Amino acid sequence: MTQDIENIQKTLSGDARAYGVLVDKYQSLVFVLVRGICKTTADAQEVTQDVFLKAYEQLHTFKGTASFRTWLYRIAYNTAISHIRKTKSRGKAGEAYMHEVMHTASPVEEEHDSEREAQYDKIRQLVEELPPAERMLIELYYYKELKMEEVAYISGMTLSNAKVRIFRIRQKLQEAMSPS
Amino acid sequence: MNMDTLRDFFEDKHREREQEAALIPPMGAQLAALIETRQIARRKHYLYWWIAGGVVFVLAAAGAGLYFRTYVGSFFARLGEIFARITENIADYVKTTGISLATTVSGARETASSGIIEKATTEISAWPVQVWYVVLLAAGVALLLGVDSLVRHRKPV
Repeated sequence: MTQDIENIQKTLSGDARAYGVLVDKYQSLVFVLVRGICKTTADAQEVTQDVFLKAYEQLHTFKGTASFRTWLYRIAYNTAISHIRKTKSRGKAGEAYMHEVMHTASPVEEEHDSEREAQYDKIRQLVEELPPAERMLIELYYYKELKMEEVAYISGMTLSNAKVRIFRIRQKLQEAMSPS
Repeated sequence: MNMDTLRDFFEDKHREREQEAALIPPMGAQLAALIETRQIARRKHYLYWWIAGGVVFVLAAAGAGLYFRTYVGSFFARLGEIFARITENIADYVKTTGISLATTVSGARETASSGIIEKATTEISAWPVQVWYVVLLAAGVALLLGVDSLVRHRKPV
């Protein structure tokens, strides 16, 4: 954390290489978060780069009330939502999750647990249909490194509001998955 | 489906993405170079705007001055009177209060120091209004630039 502050101060004094160090440190975390809403790895890399460029532009507003990582996630959250809206308006949405299935699931895995894969496919489809903000919120909620307070900060909600919203999204998903 | 399935789904997904992220080369150096290039371009852009803005301002001021020269003359004369009155008042105040205070505090008599103050106040009160106009304009611009710089270079707490 102190190392981050040091690099932030150096960056604000005009040292772009110090910012490069921060990028190297956090790029994987940001990538993992934005990958879910991008069609391809290249798209995700582009959004990740956008996140870091936006963060650089807004770095002077970082007050240190939250950790740099959480602050960065907040920017990633907003950038990802904008990206979903943009791609939806261009009619490119859809298949992101389906594409991911084809990309990541091997035939061996499919044979191993076809029932689970069917469930996963259904979840992917349901998550895909969620509004952008809800989709990102559920992603954040299940992101193992984040506490509920951090999720609320990143999404710009109060803690209680975030809890209620997540509860409703989970309920919605569960209801949609339950056999009628 | 239960909540565990949902959790498993997201955890699996995150695990897969982490594996994918591990294969991506570090983009820090590339991004730093991009930022530096952008900064240079932005500085140039700002410089051009300042120069262009300054030239346009001077031309517009000169044009307006020529066009309204009859009004401008009387306006500046009026403004000059007001400034002269203000500076005279300030000079009188400094002369009376300032010197008496200085002599009281130091115990010194009214000597060379009063001469300097007198000269300075006479000099200032003799400044034409155009000089005051420029001084106040420069002070205003400097103040705005100072505030802008402070806001931009604010350090994180």
